[in-house]
Amino acid sequence: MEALGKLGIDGRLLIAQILNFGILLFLLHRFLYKPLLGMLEKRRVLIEKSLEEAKAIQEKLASVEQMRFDELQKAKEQAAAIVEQATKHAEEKSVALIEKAKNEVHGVVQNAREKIRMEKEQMLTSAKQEFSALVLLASEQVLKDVSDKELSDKLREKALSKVA
Amino acid sequence: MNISVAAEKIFSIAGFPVTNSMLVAWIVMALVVVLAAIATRKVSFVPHGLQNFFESIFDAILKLVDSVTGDRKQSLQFFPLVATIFIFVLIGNWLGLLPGVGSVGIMEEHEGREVLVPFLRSTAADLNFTLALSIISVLVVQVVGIMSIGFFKYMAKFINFSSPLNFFVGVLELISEIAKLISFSFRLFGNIFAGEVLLTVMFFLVPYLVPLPFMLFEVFVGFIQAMVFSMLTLVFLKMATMEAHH
Repeated sequence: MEALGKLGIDGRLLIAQILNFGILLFLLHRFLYKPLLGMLEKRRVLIEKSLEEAKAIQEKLASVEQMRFDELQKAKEQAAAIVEQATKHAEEKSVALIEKAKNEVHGVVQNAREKIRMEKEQMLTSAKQEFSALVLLASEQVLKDVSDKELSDKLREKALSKVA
Repeated sequence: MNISVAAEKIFSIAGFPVTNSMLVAWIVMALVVVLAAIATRKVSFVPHGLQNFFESIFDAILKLVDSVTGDRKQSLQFFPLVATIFIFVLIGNWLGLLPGVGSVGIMEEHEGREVLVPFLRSTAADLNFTLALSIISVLVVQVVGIMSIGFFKYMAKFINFSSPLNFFVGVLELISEIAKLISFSFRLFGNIFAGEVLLTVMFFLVPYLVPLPFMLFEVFVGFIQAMVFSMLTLVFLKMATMEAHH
């Protein structure tokens, strides 16, 4: 005990220092640790929440981007299909038009030919008639004086048959 | 030149001897509490000034405590004790380095010699202070141990009849708890008191420039000792919450 006294250890001082520490602990806990640690915790929670929200927003953004991409893709496909259909349609139409035009031309040509042929025939027929009348008239004129009725008929007959 | 192991009495209040170390302890308390009050006068979500200063320190301490406990809930339980020890010891050590502390006082007749009795003295240069902290630390460790794993389980660390070896280990544990008291208090006291003596001698021999590196070294020692005291307390706290494994 004497040694403790020489080292300066005094029961009253010891208890006083313990009390000092206790008081300081209480005051700091009340006025420093509690508010500041509470604030730290509050901030930590907020940061965590913000990070989570940011992550959610990012995910949403990605999904929207994906959706937009899909939509675009679909639109592109649709457009391609429409263009293809239109092209096909136009082709078909043009083919049909050409076909029709060809047919028409053909028809016109056919008609023209027919007409030409008919006219030619008509002309030939009328020429034959005229020619046979002419022959008749000529043979009549030539054989008028011969007056052999029989011969004249025979000749006329022959001439006519030859012409016909 | 006068070197006294014990803190000197300055005056007494109703028979209670107020020593110079006690005086500095009160000054440290007042200083810290005032700073705390200013820092938390209006706690804002976006910290400024002192609030920011304390928050950054607390964040660092809390991370350190986390690294020992590995559990934020437990860290928050241990934090007040650990942080208060750290702050109290650190500020006391550093205040002891200020000019005037240990050098301004009154001359007194002591055992036939005129000696200087300084008004102020480092808190930790008084065994009463360091022993008080040690007692608190060791006591709290016991209480936390009993509360976290139960009275009988905790006592089984010290008094164990399951085998002669375990009994012997228990006795050693018991002795080590008492040894903690002594090592805690004398480590801090020894380091700070030795630092004061060293500086006193240096200033006595060469008053200018030469003591400066030693002064810086004492700033470092003051920090390290505060750190050691609080970290050891923390480690003992953590160990007390774990069950003995055989």
